[in-house]
Amino acid sequence: MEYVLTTNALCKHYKNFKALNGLSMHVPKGAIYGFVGKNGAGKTTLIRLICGLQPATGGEFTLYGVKGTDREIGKARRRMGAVVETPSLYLDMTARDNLRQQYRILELPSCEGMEELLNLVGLGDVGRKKVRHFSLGMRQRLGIAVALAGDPDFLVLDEPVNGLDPQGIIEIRELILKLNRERQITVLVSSHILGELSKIATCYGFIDRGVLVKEISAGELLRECRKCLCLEVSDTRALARVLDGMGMEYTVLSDNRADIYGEPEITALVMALNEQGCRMISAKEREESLESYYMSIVGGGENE
Amino acid sequence: MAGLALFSLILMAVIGFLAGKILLLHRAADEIGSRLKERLTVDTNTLITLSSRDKHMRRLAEEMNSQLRILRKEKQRFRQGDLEMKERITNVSHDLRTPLTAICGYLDLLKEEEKPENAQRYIRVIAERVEVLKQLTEELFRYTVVSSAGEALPLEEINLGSVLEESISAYYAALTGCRIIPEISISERKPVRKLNRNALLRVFGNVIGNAIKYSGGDLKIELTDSGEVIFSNKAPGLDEVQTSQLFNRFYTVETAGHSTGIGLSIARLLVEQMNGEITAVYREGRLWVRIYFPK
Repeated sequence: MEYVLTTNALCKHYKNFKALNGLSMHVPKGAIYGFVGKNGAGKTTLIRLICGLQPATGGEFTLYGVKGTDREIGKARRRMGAVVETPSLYLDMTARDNLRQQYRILELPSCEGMEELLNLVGLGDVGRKKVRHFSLGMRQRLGIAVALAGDPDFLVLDEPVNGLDPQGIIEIRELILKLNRERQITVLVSSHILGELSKIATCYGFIDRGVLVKEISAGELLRECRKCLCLEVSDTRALARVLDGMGMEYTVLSDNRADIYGEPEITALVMALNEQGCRMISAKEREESLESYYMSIVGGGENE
Repeated sequence: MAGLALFSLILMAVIGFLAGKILLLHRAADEIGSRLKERLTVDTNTLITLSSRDKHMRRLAEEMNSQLRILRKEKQRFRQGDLEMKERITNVSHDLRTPLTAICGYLDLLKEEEKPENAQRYIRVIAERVEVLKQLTEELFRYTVVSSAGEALPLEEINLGSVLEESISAYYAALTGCRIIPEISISERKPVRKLNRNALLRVFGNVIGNAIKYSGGDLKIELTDSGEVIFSNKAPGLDEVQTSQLFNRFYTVETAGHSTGIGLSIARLLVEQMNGEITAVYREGRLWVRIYFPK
């Protein structure tokens, strides 16, 4: 598989504090990579390193096959666009002037495509309003427009939906999906709003205390989350006997309900229950939510 | 005298200025050239950028950018369309499978029933056709799975000869059923390559299956020392133009036959995923399919 970005044991230390502690991640081409972690886990630090806003203390990263320490990295960075933390905009300029400045900085020969870009992010009708008077959502969208000015292949968004209203969240989500599908832009989104992320991401990276604890594709995650079978039986005592006999793990929820971990063969289970005079009333796959999955891999560290 | 000196001084200044200008223009032209080359060779959305402020050079770059934009749009539309089509084919084959399974189930029940001779014959015909339909949907589904496989096939050291022997023996009954006695010559040295066993079985199976359907009555299978597998058979009703299209998806010699034409294109996709090559040549009334895995 082709990777847009790979990092290998990337470190960033501030005196004794380790913001990144040997982080290794792989962003495949064409993916929407959901970068998940608590506040202070090191999400923004990683993004800042990739964007070249800070030097790494150790390890290395590769962007489009170019090493972070290579002289050619500037060229590779030209292929990415990013909004880091709050978008940096000129507050006393209009949306168009902001974009015009970006086109100029990128050394593009003209501002062709600017109107299309503004329409794409839903700012086509702002007129001469200064950015100072923009709402948070509008600023966020203009930030994305600025990041898109150079027609990047790789878009990095740091908490793009923070502080947006539900409609704004939906719009940003639609925009990301559109960019990914129609323009084949690879997207790295950091967020801690898991439910939101799960609607778009094709890959996940879970980060905790500067370490990438788990990297998993959306399909695998779904399978991981579906490992629990919720049974309703007439007698859980019989069920417990049978399950013990089959060597399965389970928790009994009430007199007639129990969760089984694993995938038993249903026929064998029903036959065995029948022998014990117990009826099975229903069997449902229970989906563990993304949140509980997240807590199980990230939250576990709290107990140390 | 002083006038002349002043004049030559001005002249020098003008020449110097022009020479500088030309140098800058050269640099700008080179910049556009190298950027354009990059844009055309690398799969990227980014456009040509130019550090020069020269109006004419910027106009040139802009003209190229507008062409690049058109190119980019076409490319993106193609990719998206390709993706959507594959998704749709997968959906369609799933949709077909559901009623087909039900039909097969009821046909099995019907076979058990007492019925007049005519009805028996009709049911046999229906069962045959349903079988064809089933294979067709299966192949459709396979094709989308194979062609959209994002992950690379896991490769391991595999003996080409033994897999080929296995494929032939699996198809031997079908071959003799069609009165084809295959002539087989497999190199004693049995070359070993980095391959995927299941994919290779499928490739050989598809090629042999194709020969069963279309052969003019014979089949030669040869494995050389260099790791080349050659299938050849008499091919009536084929010509050079058709041969060149054999690996196209949905191309089939007999449009009304029991085939979808996907088999060989699946074979090609799989061979390419294993870093090999597959070619078909039509010569002297025979079809030669050659599969080669370099070391």
